[in-house]
Amino acid sequence: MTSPRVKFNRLSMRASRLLRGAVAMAAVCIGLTGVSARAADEVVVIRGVSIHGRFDGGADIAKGTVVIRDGRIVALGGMDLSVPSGAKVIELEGGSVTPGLIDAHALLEPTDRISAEARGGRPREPLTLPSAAVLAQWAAQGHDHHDGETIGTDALAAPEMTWTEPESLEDGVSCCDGSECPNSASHEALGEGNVCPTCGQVIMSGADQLRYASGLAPRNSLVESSSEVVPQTYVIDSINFRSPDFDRLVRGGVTTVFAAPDSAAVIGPRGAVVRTAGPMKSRVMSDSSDVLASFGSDSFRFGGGNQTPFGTYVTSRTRRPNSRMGVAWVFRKAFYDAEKAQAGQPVTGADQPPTEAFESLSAIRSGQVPLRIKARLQRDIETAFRLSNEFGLKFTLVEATEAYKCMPVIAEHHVPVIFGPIYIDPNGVRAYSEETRESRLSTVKQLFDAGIETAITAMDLREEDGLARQAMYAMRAGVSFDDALKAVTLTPAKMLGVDGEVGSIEVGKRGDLVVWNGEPFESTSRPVAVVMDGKLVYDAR
Amino acid sequence: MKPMRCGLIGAMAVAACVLSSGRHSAWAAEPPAKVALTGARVIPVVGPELDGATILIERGKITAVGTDVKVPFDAMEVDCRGKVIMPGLIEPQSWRGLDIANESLPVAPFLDVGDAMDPSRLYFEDALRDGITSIHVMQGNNTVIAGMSRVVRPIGLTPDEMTVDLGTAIKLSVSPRNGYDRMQQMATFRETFRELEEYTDSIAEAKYEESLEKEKKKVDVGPAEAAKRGRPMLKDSDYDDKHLNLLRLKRGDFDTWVYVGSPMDVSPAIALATEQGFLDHTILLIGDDTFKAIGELKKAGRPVVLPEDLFYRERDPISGEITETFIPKKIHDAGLMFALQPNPNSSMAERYLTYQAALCVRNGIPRQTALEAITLNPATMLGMGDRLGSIEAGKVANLVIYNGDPLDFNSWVENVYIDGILAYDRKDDPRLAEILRLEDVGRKVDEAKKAAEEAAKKKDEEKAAPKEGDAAPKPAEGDNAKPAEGGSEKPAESGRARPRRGDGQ
Repeated sequence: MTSPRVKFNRLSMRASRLLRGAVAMAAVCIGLTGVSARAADEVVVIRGVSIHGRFDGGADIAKGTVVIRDGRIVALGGMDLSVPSGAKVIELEGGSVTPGLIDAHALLEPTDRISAEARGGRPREPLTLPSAAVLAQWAAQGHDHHDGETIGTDALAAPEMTWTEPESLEDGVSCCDGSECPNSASHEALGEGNVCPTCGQVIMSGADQLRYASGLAPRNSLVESSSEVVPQTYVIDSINFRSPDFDRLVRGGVTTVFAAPDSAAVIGPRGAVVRTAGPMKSRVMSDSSDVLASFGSDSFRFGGGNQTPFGTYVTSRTRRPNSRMGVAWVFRKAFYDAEKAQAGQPVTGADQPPTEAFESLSAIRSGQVPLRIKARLQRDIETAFRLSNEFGLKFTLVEATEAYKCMPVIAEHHVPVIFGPIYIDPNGVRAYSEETRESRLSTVKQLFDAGIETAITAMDLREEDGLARQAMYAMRAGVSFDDALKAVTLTPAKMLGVDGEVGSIEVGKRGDLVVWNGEPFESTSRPVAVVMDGKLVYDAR
Repeated sequence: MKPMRCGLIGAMAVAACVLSSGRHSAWAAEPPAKVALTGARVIPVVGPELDGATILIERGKITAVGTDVKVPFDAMEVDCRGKVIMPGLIEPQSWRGLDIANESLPVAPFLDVGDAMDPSRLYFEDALRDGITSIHVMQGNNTVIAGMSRVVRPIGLTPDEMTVDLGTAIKLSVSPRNGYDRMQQMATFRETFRELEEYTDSIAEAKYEESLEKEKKKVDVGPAEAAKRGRPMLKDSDYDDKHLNLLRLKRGDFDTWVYVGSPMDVSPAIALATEQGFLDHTILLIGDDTFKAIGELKKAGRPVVLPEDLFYRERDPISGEITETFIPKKIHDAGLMFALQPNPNSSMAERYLTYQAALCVRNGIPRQTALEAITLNPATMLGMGDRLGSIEAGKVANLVIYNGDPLDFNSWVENVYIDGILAYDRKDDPRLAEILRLEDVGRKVDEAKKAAEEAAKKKDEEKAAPKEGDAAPKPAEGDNAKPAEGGSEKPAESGRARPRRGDGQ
């Protein structure tokens, strides 16, 4: 039932769990060893709809029936298929059904960004600053003190965003500049990052105060930025399973996602494969999936920059890369260091990852841990190939905005691509990044034409803007319906190693279905019901 | 039959359908005398859709539509079989054609947007590409009383050449402009209209005195009475530009478009319009959450222009729950006429008016209503419902030809006719080819299929008669055959589609 890859992951996970002593999450692990959500003897029947996405060689059914029992698809056929007694019947004339969509690289929002998003990317309400007590607690725990309320990348990159002067802070939270502390004179002597014994505030540099005052903290909640090499960390530990973001995914018809780390570290954490709804114990399909490496400017645009690693100060030894050269060097050095560590040689230089990181890196080299590399520009894609060839790494290319500029090299290496998001106009307000400027609508079509295994991702786009619309855009570029559907169901399932469970409508697979009020991916239709593990988790019929 | 060719914009001096008063330039070229578009599916917006219909255009006007229309012997026939023809789309209001959206003067009814229009804006080109044939150019919302608007076509080299109708409407904004609060905003309205009365009184008084002078009589009454007696003698030419336009606004010579950015602005806006007597000539431009005042909007019963973002999402400050409202549904359920706006700033599909209409259908609004909201409704709001917005005999020949259903996102605008002239041809759009790197996708798919079939055939032949020393599979000739190799072990060197222009026929 579980793929070998997932098995390995879980074993290695257990080992690292022991090391990390994280007991709480073990409950989730135990839950995993069971099959999945089981609703005792519950039968759901979807009738009168066209059935797409069988992918087992069976043709689409124009008007048919799907029977789900105990969370699994048990029968599939025309309207003559008998309905078991006591079954819950969903009947929708003119509707259609597809497998639950799978986003191979979803950027989950740990906090709730929608209020900002709904207003064109700029938050209207003032952002809450972490309280002094919270800051002190973080400092005591050795946390990066920017890992608090983030406001999302839109706001971060929005050109209209202006810096607010620290004076605009409300009383009580402005104390971190020391102005209200009777003992403020001693702050300088105490140094940044320490807690003042008099006022209990964390002492911040002027620049940090400004960042907090303006709400501009890096979006590092789903990436660890104490180092540029953190493949020993797990995104699963950061996921808020009650985030409204999951509800939005469900409403968009997405049932399984790869919870991707943010791209702010050169070699980032390991992602997870999670379900967007259902009972908690069945939400995690893999808690230790691919490692995400990112080339390009993300690590110095969004990353920790020159922040201090745990408990240290910025010196020439702890400085982070601030160019593509530096990013490539960090990547290369990490693998050389892993090689050295494996050979028992001492590892030297600043920003040394811990031993566990080397284990992950070695596992990447041996192919046990899958690697994905996020690269948008042509030069970054080419760097990805250069460096991976150097170490013989297999990887999946993510985002690949400018893939159309280097199609031969991608095709030559048979690299699978997780492409997206696709924007109709790269110069519009949503496609804000300077690295998406030269995107072309037909790139996705070219990937398919070149026979490259391609999944489509919506990343941080949701609901109306979500994965279904990405498939629609691909179709506008000329991709066939079947290819587009596959790119958001079976292909990502294969990439994530969960195609035995989800990704198509086949007898024996999980009962993850999206019911549409028309044909899927048409501009006039939308998901009106979502069934997960045979349970109706969303119903807007 | 070959579609006729005209160059884009440049060669487009335009038809003589300019209406309305005022200045307009002399038109250099005339549209072709008779054009017949045959064999298309026609969505006339009024009445049922017609299959295999003919549209006859004479001198820029539609003269006949139907399945039984005979093509006159002297008409240029354009074969549109397999295509879908819709009336040209209408953008109900936009400031994107202006060099600066807002004037710094709060009250400026004497302005004409034509003076700030920049015909070279990419915006106009995009509009044409997306099938928009009429744009109502207005100032932005950051104003109190804005200048006179115009209705333009996205073709032409000068604002006057582009203009279809000038002095169309004036925009008032009840939501406060930058630096104003609502009290000051409303005080400015009161002040402006009071000042209009004072001004009228003063010129009326002068007029009365003048008339007495002519008769060599002495002033016999006080100023108030003089003004009263002078008023009926006033002509429009006695007013200056500012006051004349305010007077015409009150008189209802043109429509007043009132921006109500938030629900709290609706009732003051309606009170203002009622008080000044222009409620019957009011169109309401609503903001993202203005629909919350749906009761008042319904009571006013005036047509509504919807915001660019059709969804309103709000988080409850206490529970944190997110509610999502689809604005057109609210307005439609209240029985109000509405028009949709595209969102040219969006990176997503909302930049197409047709997609906005599709969104409406997707969320439960009848298709007919959605189609009207991008054609006939804005035309009616502009007072041009008798000339634009549908395919009927007697209307201006503004037509968009799609290669599929307009609300289907896979359809592309093939041709745009404005005043019976071919103003846009997708085959002659190098920018589209470059921006999207997308040639005729449909044709490419067909080619790829053909090539795949040929390759398969060849393979079979080769299998049937294997040659020695020919182990490696031979790549099929040319670029076109490449997709056929997609399934082979080593994909083609380059799967890159190169836009090949001009060989479309």
